[in-house]
Amino acid sequence: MRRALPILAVVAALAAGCGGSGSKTQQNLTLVVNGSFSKTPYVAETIANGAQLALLELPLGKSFTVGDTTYNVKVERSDNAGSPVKAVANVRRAVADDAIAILDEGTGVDASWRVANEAHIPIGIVYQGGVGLVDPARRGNVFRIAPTDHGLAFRLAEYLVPKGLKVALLHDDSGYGGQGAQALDKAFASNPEAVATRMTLPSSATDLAPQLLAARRAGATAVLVWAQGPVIAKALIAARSAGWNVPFYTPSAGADPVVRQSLADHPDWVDGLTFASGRLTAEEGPNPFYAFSSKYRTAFGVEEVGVKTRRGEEVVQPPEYAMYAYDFVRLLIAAIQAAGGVDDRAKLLAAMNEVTIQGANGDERAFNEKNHEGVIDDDVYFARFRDMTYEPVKDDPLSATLPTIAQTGQ
Amino acid sequence: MKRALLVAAFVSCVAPGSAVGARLVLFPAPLTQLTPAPPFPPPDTVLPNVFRPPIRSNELIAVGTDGEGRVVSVDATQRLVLAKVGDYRLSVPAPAEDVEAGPGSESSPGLRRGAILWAGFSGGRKVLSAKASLEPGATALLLPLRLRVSEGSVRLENATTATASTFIANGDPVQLAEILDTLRTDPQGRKLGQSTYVKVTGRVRDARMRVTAPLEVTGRIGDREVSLVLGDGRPTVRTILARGRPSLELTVEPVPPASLLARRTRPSWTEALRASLTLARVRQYNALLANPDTLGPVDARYQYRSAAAPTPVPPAPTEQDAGLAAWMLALIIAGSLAAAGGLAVLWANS
Repeated sequence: MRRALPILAVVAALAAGCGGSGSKTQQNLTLVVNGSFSKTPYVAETIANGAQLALLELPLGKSFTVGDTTYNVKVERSDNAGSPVKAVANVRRAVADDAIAILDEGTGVDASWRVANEAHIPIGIVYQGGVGLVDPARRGNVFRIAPTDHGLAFRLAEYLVPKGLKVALLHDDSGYGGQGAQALDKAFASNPEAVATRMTLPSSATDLAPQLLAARRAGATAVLVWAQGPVIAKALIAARSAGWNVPFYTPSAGADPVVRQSLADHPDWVDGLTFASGRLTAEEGPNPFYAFSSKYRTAFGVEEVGVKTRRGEEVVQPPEYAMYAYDFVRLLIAAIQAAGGVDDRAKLLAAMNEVTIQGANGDERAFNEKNHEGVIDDDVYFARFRDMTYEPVKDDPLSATLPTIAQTGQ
Repeated sequence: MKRALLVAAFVSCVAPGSAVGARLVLFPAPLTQLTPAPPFPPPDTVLPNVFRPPIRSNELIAVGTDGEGRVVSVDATQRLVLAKVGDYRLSVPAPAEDVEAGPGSESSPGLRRGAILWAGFSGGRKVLSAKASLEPGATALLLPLRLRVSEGSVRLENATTATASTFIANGDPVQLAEILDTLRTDPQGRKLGQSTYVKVTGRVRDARMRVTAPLEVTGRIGDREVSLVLGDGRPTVRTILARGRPSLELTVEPVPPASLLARRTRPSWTEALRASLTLARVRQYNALLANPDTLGPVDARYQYRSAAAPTPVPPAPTEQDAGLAAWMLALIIAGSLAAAGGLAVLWANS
């Protein structure tokens, strides 16, 4: 209740600003979603949908009023096909079109942030957690609401090292995998004895049996795969089909539906897969997240994973990345309110550091001068698959406090 | 401010000036805040704190002074230790210009105008350490020791004195002795809490009481060792003679009054009240940066050091400036060579 008051104040301020009847001018704003719609559509679409949902919830339906101006906001999908070059080109076009903000998976941000920064356009990364992507001192226009690679890697090390495992650290050859490998190197630097081997997995390989065999021969008693969903699936298949029942650990990508889809014929091979991700629920429980999920499904339908439990229940995917995009857009609108409109873009950018909203999971979401991360490292938890759905593990202090999110038959 | 109002509250609730039979009144415990600051008051936009008590706070305040004793820099390192499992979101009011994680911190602090921020999850024990550069002007007003350095002397002044609006009554001496016994073992008054009642008889009168947090000052002024207490029945101002305009290296700690150690079986209301309010003042200066857990233990140490006054940093030359300078330099060199060449021709023709 204590924390509800300021949130109510922010909501009230938003509502007051949004309900104006005496506005004189109309202005169209474009929010660009820069994602790999053609290559990894699940992630890109869920980001776009999350942004769309935040706009649908505005009291005037995709519009809000500040002072005398009514702003009509639309979401524009910009496909980068996973290419940093295309991602930067998309940002250039967004700047040319005077976009109000860019929601981004993270691809190409190392180059695109400058382009956007010159126009004081905020970039909200809501998927990739690369360590260097966000830097409030140098990249003042880049924000992130997604677990950081640093947080995931250190929490994985913190979780695995005390178990006395010899971990094979595998990553794929994508940018995502490379950034993860860097984070893992730092996280395990003080515990070299816990690392059995390090290896790069070729994303294009159809069979990863040689790499998994090498990991086994290196004496690994656990495998940590930092890779995109399809590669994680191939690694699991390679290990299990060889009869190697070694425990598997992954970052958030382990929960990508494609992993379960790829293993639909062998659901027991998924059992025990443990992934690290950002918690979906705050301390007050799962109700705020369920409320968000319900709104999301009403607007965009149920996101079915495409597999069933042993009892025949359809498995559905909680809208995790949609939640991050949704929260970023709501922070952006709160910042526009605080800045008194969009005319002064530098002021709007500064306001991003000062506003707070109640996030979809019930907790506050905010940035500040020193920290542009909306998901803090402490909030990384671990979940383990069983019967195609996952639940928080019990042998980690944070995870043990978290409820299991319903994932079937809805 | 809230606590200051509390002092006024119990004045009104006992109807001062009235002479009635025995009744209970709220005794001003050390958790009473006599002035709105210290700690630094919260900014307007601060969010409520979320945590599971207790939180322990330790602070080291490094104060840099110029040749006249004026405060030119303040770096505060606050270490908060959370002891329970659960989420936390903390806001520590401070006029911070910059902040970074301090030694041993298990998380990184955030910064907004007027507050240092923390958020995360504690698995049972979590150390949050922040090292913040504070705005010297705003902070100097809240420091416990004021310095004036002159040629041949240094004046040390205890700046913690405050006047509390309170009341005088005939309190039950047995209860008052129990309160003082409790404060001897727990000078911060955490066991007493904020609601300790005492039976009083007779007239209750408004009163104003000046209290000072005793300061233990140790260190060096020039080549002279210093170890003294300002306040606690001793002078609150001392002038130390020194050679020239000396440099300083002083550690200052707010300490409980020595009188608290002397056990009395039947203390008067005034004795107990003075001890309690003095401890309240000590507690205030043990938390320049607030402990988000207002009932949690606090401890602060202030280190005063002579430091050079900050000099304005000249702006770094831009690439364009650098190019211009090189171009100018080349022109000058070329001009010099041409002039030298001309002189040589003149000399050859002369």
